[in-house]
Amino acid sequence: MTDALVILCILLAALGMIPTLSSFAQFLIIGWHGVRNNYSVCRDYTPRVAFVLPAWNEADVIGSSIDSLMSLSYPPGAWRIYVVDDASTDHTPAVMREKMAQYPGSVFHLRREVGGQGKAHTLNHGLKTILAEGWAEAVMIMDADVLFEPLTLRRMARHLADPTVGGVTAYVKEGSQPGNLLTRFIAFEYITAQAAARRAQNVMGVLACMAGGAQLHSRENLIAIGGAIDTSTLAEDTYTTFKTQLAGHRVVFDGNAVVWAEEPDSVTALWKQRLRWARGNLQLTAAFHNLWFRPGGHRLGGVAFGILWFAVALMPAFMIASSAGVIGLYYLRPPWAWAVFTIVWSATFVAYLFETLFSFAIDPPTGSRTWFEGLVFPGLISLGIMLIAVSGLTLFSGAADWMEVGHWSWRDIPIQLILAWNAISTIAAWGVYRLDRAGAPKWLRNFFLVLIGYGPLMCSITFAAMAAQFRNADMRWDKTMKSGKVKILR
Amino acid sequence: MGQDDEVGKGEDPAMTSGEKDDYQKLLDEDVATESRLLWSEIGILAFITLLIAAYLILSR
Repeated sequence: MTDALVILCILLAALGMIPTLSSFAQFLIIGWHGVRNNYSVCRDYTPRVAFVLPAWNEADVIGSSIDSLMSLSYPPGAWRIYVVDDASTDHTPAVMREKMAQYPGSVFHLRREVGGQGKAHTLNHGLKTILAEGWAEAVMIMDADVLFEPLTLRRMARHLADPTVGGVTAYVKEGSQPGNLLTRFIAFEYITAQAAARRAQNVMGVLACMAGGAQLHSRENLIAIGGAIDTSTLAEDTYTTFKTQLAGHRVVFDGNAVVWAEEPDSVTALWKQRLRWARGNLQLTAAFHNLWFRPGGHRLGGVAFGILWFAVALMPAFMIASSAGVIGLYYLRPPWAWAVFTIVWSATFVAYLFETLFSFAIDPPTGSRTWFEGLVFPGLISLGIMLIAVSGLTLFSGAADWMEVGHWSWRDIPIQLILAWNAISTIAAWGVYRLDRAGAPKWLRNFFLVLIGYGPLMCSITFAAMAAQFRNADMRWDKTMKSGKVKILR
Repeated sequence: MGQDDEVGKGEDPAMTSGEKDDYQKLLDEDVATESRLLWSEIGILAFITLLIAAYLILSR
């Protein structure tokens, strides 16, 4: 019986390694993008593009977004901007009147008189008009606050020269000015989650998500997916990405095509945004339940992609499994607990070192701005635990002595806290959110964020999303408020 | 809206030929970036392999 439990614990600990190993594997194949990318089939292609900007009370940001779009380096007259005003109650209509006068024939204001149904409904209002007009050969779906670099559209459109490509997405960078610790964490996260991960997915030939802030679709693709965005989930961008690929088109990430966005500057706002994203991913997991782990069919059903997807969508389950496995071993076969702990955290350290250094190299300007946040991304406590594992410190020195089955001592408490930190950090990160929500001073929030880590915060949000889905909580479209402080950074 | 005939799918030589060099420059720049990432990865992996080797030797 004990042996069976020991094996179960080892399996749980191994299961807990899946997110670390899948992320490491994903980073390993990024370099191959230098050889296998879509540039060989690109050509100078400049289709007529309609930009769709869903806007609800975006008066503070919509003007600068339109100005940025109107200064694109693209053939004159080959792009138009359609702002779909979701019944804004601020002075968005006045800003739009001003911009339409400033850019006649290029900027259009489509207003919904009854709004509040969410981004997908708003986008669909615009898409219906654009597709009916027949002018646009491609459609750029974006967010109202996003700023395009002058050559971004040109870089994205070139991929549509290949008729097998249905959608192209760009690298969304965090550009809040002035930024703070949290926005710099997000900026670093976007190197890993976009510039790195999506290059790897290009190599795999399957993309998990075209960023909602910059999705360029061919007209043919939009028609193929029904001419509208799905409204049943909270992750309409990911849903569209899946539908595009299932409709037989390829989707491509261009890491050199850059747009800038303003991301949340408080943990509370970030929690709200990411809870929506994480719930959306879980809804998608259920909606496409017939797709997963069906090799031989579509690439979305491949084993490698399935592992990548579930490693993110169910991250807390893996963290809990890891901790449960090591703690179980601690009680059943203590020396093995130390061995498994050392292997797990040493491997985590190697992955951390490689991914962090490579992330800095992938986007050096952002890396130099966020080097501190990159280094403390897992949290100081996790870093300390990694060093304990790597250095082989018998912190709990005389390891063989203290680990004695059936003999409990106070010393067991810190040891178990360390062994179970993967799961505990998820709860601790929730505490950081509660602290921020309670209005704690920013320095205190930042202190705990650095101590516990941004990674565990993401894990905690995913756990909250799983709980919300499990109890079938209301699906509210909680819009992230933008203040217009985003700038294109050079 | 009146601009329909002025732009197209980039196949009109009159529209694109003047910018062809610019485009090629842009493409070359991006291809070079991807190539740089490959070499960066190889360099970082080599560095980490060395670190691990040193660690294993020293911890014997």
